[in-house]
Amino acid sequence: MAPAGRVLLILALLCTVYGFGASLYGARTGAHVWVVSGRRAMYSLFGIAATAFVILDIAFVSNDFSYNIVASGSSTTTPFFYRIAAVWATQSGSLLLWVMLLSFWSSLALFITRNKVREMVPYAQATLFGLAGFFTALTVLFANPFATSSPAPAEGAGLDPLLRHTTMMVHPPMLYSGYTLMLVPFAFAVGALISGRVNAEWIQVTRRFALAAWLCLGVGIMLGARWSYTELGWGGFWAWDPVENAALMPWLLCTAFIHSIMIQEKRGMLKVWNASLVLLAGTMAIIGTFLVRSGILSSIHAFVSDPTLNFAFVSLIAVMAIGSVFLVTLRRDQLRTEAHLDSLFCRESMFLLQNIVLVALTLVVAWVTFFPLISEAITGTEISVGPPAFRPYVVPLALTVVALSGIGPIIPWRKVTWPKLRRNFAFPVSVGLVTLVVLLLVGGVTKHLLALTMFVFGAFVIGTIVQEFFRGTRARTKMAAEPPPLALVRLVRRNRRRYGGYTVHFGVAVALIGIAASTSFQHARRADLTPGRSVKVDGYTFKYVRPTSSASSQKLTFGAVISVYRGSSHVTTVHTTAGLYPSETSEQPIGRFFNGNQESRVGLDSGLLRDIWVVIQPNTQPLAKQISEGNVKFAKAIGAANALPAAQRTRYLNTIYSLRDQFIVALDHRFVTHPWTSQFLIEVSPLVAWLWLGAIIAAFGGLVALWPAPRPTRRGSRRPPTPDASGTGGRQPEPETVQQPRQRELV
Amino acid sequence: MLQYLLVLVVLAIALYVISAPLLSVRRASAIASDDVRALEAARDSKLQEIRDAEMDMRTGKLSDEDYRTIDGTLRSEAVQILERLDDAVAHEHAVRAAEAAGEAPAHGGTAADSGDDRLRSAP
Amino acid sequence: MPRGMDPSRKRAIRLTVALTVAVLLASALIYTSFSAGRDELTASQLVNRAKPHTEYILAGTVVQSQRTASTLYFRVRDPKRDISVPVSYQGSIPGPFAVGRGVLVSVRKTASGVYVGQPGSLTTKCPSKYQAVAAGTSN
Repeated sequence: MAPAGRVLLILALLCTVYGFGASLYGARTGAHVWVVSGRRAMYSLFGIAATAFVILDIAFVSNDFSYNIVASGSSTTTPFFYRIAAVWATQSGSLLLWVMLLSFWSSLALFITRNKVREMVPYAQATLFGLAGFFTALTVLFANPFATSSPAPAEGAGLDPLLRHTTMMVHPPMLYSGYTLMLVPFAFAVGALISGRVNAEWIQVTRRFALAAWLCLGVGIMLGARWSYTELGWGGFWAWDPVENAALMPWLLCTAFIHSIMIQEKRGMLKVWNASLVLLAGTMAIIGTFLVRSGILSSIHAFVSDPTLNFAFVSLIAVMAIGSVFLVTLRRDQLRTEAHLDSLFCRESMFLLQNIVLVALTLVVAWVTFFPLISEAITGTEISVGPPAFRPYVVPLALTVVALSGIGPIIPWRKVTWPKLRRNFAFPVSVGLVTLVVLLLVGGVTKHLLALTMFVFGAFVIGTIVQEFFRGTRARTKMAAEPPPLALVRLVRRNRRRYGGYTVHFGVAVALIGIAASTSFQHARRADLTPGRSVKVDGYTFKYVRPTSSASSQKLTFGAVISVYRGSSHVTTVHTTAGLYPSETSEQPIGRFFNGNQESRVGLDSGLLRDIWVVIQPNTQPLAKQISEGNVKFAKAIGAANALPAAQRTRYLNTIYSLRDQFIVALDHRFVTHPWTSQFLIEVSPLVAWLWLGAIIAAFGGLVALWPAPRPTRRGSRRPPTPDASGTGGRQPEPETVQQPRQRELV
Repeated sequence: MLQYLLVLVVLAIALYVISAPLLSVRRASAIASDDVRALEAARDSKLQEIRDAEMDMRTGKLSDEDYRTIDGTLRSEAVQILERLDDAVAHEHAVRAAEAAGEAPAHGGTAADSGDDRLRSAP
Repeated sequence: MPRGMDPSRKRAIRLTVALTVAVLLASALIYTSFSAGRDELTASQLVNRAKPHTEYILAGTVVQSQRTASTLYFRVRDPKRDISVPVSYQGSIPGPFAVGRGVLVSVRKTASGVYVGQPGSLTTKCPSKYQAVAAGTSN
């Protein structure tokens, strides 16, 4: 089926070329039927890309190693779930996934807007085809997922053990969904600017896509952080690595955008800002995609550089950046603001300030990420700026964003009533102050003033959100005479955007409290232990109870059971292991089983207040002598067996390999029977669970905000004209008529 | 053999889907123009602002006096939008009536712009 | 700002203040980057440029590795040239560390010419998702 897949990719490329041309032709001539045909080409593109993707996935699932990417990324021993997901663990497979997701979201957006914004849709459509065409061309010309080899190898290389983790399999599709969703508002902004229809319609039709992009990127980032924390043996969830930053930057810009568009919708302000922001966010999504696979920056995530792809990506990014600047400049007159800020103390001002801070944060992260390249261009040497150097910039900006996320909900739109404002701040400020007093009494926090500030600000935000829910529920209870639980549900249901947003703020505050606590108050220690020995960390005693080992056809495992005590009370028992996979490159018959890929399984006990995290780093040096002797003996035996006639060779080789496996299992078991000193990394971190909990709450809030409003309050239908006797041709502007929706739907 | 059949089927479906609008002879649709849509969007935003202002008042962010001022401003802005919307709708109906009477097609569609009626309710 | 000021003047003042703050912050960031950053060097660059007792980030591929109970000894090869430097390292060793993996490690050159890795600075590149790995035989 590989040739069929290749032909489908070519068809997909032709589809994008046709769709691009038809959309523009329809726009220029006014013949909308060509635009419709173009939209259907997008549906077809999705169908073709999905079919190609299924063909590829079937190849992985059925272990068809004639496909080069199946041979390089999977094996017969790879578990079924990971075989399905291994498609996007490869360069070409991930590009195909990109095309499929982009065409899916584009199809959805074009379907939803098929009867709206007709003047801008053709240009938006053409933009989406341009982007889809770029990625499809990459798969056709440079990274063909259907490339095959003959003869096909009998076995594949297998999925790297570090990638055999559920979150790592879901993390790429979530990130790609975020990136591709971000391109929808990008395309519609381009369409709006080209067509000149730069009012709020393009925002209204694409707002949900921006929010969905924010949600998917955020979930993808959190999944990566979770994988890092539980899988990698360094005990952290964020390293400010360039590839991590590549997803963070568009997420920050998207966060700013989903707030600032509210101001344009309500007041017709910030048109230039919103257009620039979404164009920048879309460009940053492509930059993020480029960074991950370019290898231009030293990263613990960096992958092999492909110069051809690099050139293509840089060209696309240049076109997007230059084109964006050109379009905004072209329409600068039409992007003039319709109104101005009535006051510095109104929600609009807070949103604007929050936007500025988020963009500043993005610029700091971008500067630090790309600084090695910038410095190399200026000085000839790559210079890296480590986290300690730029933390003084990032943390205050983050604190400002948190504070604003608590202030914004308290302040009304347009204008503040000062006496009310003082009253409204009372409860959240009190919560913050009480938190401060309690923490000062508990002690030990003043050494970390920034963390203390985050705790206080986080508590302030939580106080604000609780107050908002309480007051809204109380208002509805009074108006509708409903019991509070029902009032709360209906309140949220009728104001999803507002209360979904508040829930996100709550979740983010919880998550940032968790980050501040776990990074500032973590106790970590490295210890060399033999069975029976103990070490103390942060008031806990960690006792190495016994070693464990196991051997399978896939890997050798060395582990340890650790019991944790506080005083004389037993707290928990954790089991940590390190798995050694055979090396793919070594030819040592014994040694290759001990110096290949290694994965860590963390011994983790998670609680609401603290995490206990232990990882073993076994040392196989004590086995070096036996391994070396085994290499010599088995290499000799294998050599002798290979020299035998074919009829005898197989039998002798099977016997030798069987003996070899027994020898390896015996070596592995020596870790239990003759245990030696192993190194452990032990961490006790407070409130780590708050990070994951906060992320879940924020994601839930995002879903609430994303969900369409109940049908009676939706305003999709046109109101027919009602000519009156006076012949004015329209309804009279009567306040009562405007008031009716209020009585029906408010609160 | 199977793979060629698959490619042919996919190609045939794609060609059919893409070419259908170009070959259809349905009548021009009665979809609202972008101007009307823009005004409807503005109306919806303004009504939401009115709701938000009341929400702010009921949750204690605005005094009654400030609320009345803001509400009055918003309502007068809403009335202006509704008037413009009425004018736009009336104009559009007049244009469509003229088109139906056989005059030259106006902005927003051609006689060949016939696929949309069917496409309105089906992808 | 005084009451009764022309709104456009108010906006101009606000914009000026904002731009000034932005320029100051940007200048501080640029200064910090150049002063607090560390050179990231390959093995060949390290050999040519490293001064004793100055910290550098060494980037390259691990070509040899040996562990004792407390110390990891390994050689890091230049990505483009056939030059490698020896490093001795005591500290956390990431799980993915292995011969053939890309690494980043902060090192200081001692007076005796040995490169000593700073504890906790060793990071290993994650498995290369986009690099085709040669399919191995089953035995």
